[in-house]
Amino acid sequence: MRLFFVQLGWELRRLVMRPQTWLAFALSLAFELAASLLLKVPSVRADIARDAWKMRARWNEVFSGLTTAAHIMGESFTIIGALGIALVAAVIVAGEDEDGTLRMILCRPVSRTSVLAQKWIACALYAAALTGFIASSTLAICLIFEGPGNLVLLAPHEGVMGTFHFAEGMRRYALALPLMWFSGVSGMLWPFFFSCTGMKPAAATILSLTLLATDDIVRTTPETAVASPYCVTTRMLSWRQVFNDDIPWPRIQRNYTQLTEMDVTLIVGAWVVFRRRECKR
Amino acid sequence: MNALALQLWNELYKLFARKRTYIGFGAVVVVECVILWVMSRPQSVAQFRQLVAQHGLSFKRYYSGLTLGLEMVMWTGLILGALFLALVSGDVMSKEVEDGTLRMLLCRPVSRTRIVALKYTTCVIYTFALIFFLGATALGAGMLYCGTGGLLVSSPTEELFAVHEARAGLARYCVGMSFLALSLTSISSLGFMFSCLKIKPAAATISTLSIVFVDSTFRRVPFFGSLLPLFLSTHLAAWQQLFAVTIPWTRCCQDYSYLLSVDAVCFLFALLVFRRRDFKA
Repeated sequence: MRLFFVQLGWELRRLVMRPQTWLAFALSLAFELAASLLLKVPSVRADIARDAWKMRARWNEVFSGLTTAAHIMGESFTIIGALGIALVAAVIVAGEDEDGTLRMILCRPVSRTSVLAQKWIACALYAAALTGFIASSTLAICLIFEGPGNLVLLAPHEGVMGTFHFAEGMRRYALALPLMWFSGVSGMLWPFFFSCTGMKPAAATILSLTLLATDDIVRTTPETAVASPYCVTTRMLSWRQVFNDDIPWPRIQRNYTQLTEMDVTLIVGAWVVFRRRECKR
Repeated sequence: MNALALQLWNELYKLFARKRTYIGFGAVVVVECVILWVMSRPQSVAQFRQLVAQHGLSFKRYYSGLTLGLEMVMWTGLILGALFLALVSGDVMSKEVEDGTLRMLLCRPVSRTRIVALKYTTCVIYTFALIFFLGATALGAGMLYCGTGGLLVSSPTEELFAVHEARAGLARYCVGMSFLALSLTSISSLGFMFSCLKIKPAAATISTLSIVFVDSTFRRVPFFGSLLPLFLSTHLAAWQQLFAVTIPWTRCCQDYSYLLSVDAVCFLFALLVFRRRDFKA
């Protein structure tokens, strides 16, 4: 068991040494800064003030650093987080296969199951680090730009609407983190699975993103919204439900149980494919 | 001139000899089938019937292959186009650097400018091929499902609602696909630019996708309405104006001037970087 953790440590070290591992961190920071700066544009603020006035709400009651952080974090995680996690998960096996280092790893007296498990854990830890970074950097940037205040979150597609005081808002924000990580791990398993099938890293990344993008198109297009309850992205975005005034725990539990079932299928699929593969390079 | 055409031919041969070039074509067909299947559900048809009835039009006349084909292209064009154009254009130069074949290419008595120009032309040709394929298969699938008829165009984001007779609609559809391809050339240009930098193919692809997805996310934010002209995706959607009853040519010219400027800047930047790079691998 001790050897397993030593090998996992090396796997993490290799992950950290790759420049592409840091790409998502830099991109998410750039996205959060750009979004916060755009929210400072006078014409944008005038539009928000008009909408707040229509809702018969005071500016200070609805617009704060916590409100912008919750919205920007969601977008940053959905776009940059998904891209970054897909990139790392697709490269972790396919990249080594392409570089020819996988054969060397398999020369050691270590089972393929152990190698795959280490790579999976490394990806899951990366997803946790990226999720934590996105959440904390967004919160810090938005609090600096807009200051503290109430949290108001609206997500019409997911049927989410909630208003909270700062302390409760912070609690909900923290509560969203583990669920976001879980969604991130589910999103990671598609590129991880493709990565094990002998595809090139870029192709594995794009194929998994195509699946998620198609699913999202079906979920959000009005003409095909009838199929949204069956979409994977509907389940992956369940973390947003913690921002509802009353958290629908049974719904969250059901969605994450279904995601877990999908995850187990993908892990077993990846394991079967990886064990039976012949690495020629 | 003969040598130039021969080199272009060889570049195209190389591009179409790679398996990942065809992933886009395969994915387009699969996604269209999925979307068509969802759109053929009774609830989706009822929704369309309601839209047609609201405007006092005949359902039978406008629920046609042309209408469904255009709907599919509108919903999938930008996302699928972005994914697969980023994959191919992000790969085109950086993959050769990674494989070490670029050094051999540079051994020949051919200028670096010519190599960049040829590879860029290859990306543009691929863009047109993929989009024409997307347009043709969407139209084919739509026509197989519900036959010929008039064209109904409804795009709330572009504030567009128009109807055309079958022949005029088909002509608009063909012209529309050419302009969509021209629009998406900007994504290929971005991917190509990143491909010429010193980064891995997967990282070039992800960087391109980040820009495109972040830009289209900003565009969808209702409060950023006053900033719309700044976003690339606003101009990328200009092709939809070709379906308006009276085509707003001035607006189209402005949008395409913007996009062509983006293409030119990306190409020149790529050329500048490529000419100054030292290839050691």
